[in-house]
Amino acid sequence: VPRAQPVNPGAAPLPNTADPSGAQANTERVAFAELVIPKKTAFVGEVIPVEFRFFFNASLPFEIQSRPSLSGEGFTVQRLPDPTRSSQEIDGVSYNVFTFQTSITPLKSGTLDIPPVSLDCITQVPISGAGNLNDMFNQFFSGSGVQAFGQSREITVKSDPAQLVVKPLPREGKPAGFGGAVGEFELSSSADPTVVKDGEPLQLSVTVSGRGNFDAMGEPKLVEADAWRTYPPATTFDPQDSIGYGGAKRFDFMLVAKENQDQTPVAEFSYFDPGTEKYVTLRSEPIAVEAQAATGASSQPSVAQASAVTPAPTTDAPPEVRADKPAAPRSFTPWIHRPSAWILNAIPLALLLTFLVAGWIRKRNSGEQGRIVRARKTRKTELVRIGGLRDAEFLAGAARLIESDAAASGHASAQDWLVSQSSSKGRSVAVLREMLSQADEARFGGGLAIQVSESSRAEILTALREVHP
Amino acid sequence: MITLRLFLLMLGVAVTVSSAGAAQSSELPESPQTYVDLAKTDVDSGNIVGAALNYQRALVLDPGYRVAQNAFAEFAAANRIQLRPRSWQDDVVAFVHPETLTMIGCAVGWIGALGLAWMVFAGGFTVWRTAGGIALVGVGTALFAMGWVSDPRIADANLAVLSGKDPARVLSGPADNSAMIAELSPGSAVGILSPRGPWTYVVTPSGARGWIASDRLISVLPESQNAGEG
Repeated sequence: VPRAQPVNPGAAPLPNTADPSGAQANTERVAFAELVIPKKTAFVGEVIPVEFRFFFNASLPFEIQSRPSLSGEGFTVQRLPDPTRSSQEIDGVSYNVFTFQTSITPLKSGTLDIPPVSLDCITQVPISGAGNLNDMFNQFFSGSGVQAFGQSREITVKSDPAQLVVKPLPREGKPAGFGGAVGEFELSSSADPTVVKDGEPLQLSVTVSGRGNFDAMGEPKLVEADAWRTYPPATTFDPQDSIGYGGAKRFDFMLVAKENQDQTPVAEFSYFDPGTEKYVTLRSEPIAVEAQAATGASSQPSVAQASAVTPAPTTDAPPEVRADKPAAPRSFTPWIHRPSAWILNAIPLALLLTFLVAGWIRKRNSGEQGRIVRARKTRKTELVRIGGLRDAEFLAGAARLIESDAAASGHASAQDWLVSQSSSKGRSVAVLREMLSQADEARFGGGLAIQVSESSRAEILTALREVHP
Repeated sequence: MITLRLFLLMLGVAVTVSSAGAAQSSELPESPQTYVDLAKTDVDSGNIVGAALNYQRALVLDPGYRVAQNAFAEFAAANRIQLRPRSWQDDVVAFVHPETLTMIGCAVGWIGALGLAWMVFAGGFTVWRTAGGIALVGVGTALFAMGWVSDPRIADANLAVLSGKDPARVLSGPADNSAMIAELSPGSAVGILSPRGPWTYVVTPSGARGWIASDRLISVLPESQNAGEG
């Protein structure tokens, strides 16, 4: 583990550190950094997780002014994520530790120089010569990270440079389908849906999981895929750590069967394992599917895709296995937004209202209430008819009407019925009793001519309208 | 013939008695196959956006048209165009066109309602007849509603295709310096949620919501249709 001292130790001595280069300064430092590399040799393309740890004396306040950066020739480095913070005691001194995790990937073989990584920060150091007063205040504020008397100083904490021996990937044993993956991986696959008809596409998802250079790896190769049309996969990466060293990368292949198929193609993925220093080729198991090829001329791929496809049959498909129903002409206006829909719905609506109204009327005219209504209507008609008759016929008709009213009311005679009428209709009742007498005279008078004056007719008609069942 | 034609027109069914006349009339309904053919022509000429737009229009006209579905799926895979996840509406329209569903729903619902009204008119109410009438009204309403929400001309009325040659950035705010939420290939379809001048708030096929430059969007429904629908 390369370990470094502060680049300017003299700028930030502790209060009791008179000589920063002395023995006491080595055991109680203001800040220092170390670079942790898990190995000293690596292969080209291998992802090497590294850690930068910055130690700050816990008794002094620090304010970090910059983010550390690492760059150099011959390797790539992941962007440094936010640091994790912890505490550590070294030789009896407490330190706050900021740890930055990242990874480097060698791009060429040879000795790789990893330059130092630095971090700028500001701290407050006690003013020398403040004497016992300063010590007293420092004891008072002890543990709070606050120095009672001090001055701000900028310091730069820098790690030591390091070296890494990078070996090239071996030529022998390199698989034809090797796409640059270096690490330790596993392969799995799934298909969705597993039953497709008429040339519908299905998705074959091939997942490479493990640890390694996910950024640089090529896609798995589909073998035994001659009977399928395939397209470049869409990829998604699900990292398992902050630097993307471990994770799972999924490759979604869109597949369309040229001929009926009962299993998917096999995915093949090759990588170099730096642990065993050998190439490894993983193969997925074929997945059982029911994939029906497209039939009919309409499902032929376009000219632009011709390089990737096999011409589909054009006219040999029998009608019963037609790929699709004929595309009926349609409109961009939905049916429900067209006037025809409103007209068509207005017809049953009108019928519905007709049924409801007619039903209500029919119910109203049936039963006792209906009988009463009909009787009133008939009586009204009869009154009109009687009003048109003359003298004896008029009296006879009026008498029949009164007798009919009496019978409808359950009385034996018209006189009885008239007697039962309320006293408020006394005048009308009297007129009608007189009318009945005149009618009897006309009926039984033996040819006696009876004349009814206009005023009497009007009186009788008014009484008939007022007195009714 | 005229009576039959009028009757079919009332049913909303396209009547193409004379193919010559149909070709000349601009008001006759469009054919999904026409748009598929246009899309293939666009593919041949390298017009990715035009092809995507025409495939989308074919599927808006007939979302269950498998020829268009398959061709569009292959086209999208070849051009890295992101498609929205399959929904239950897609399963519905695979069996029957939503318009047909709407019509059947109307018919069944009205039969149930008229049956109930006839019982009011003629009497003869029984538990079973009443339950049957109510059930028909319920089923008809459900079919109508299913056809309504499955019809892309209604549900996807705000669908737009991304134009241009470069990928379009979906941003977290209506400003160029906003954080990028997603990047969509030309030809991808987004749902317009709220147009705001030079920026439009959209939902991407994956469900992310963000802002995109308005001049990158082409409505899937023809503009006259959108204007007509208000």
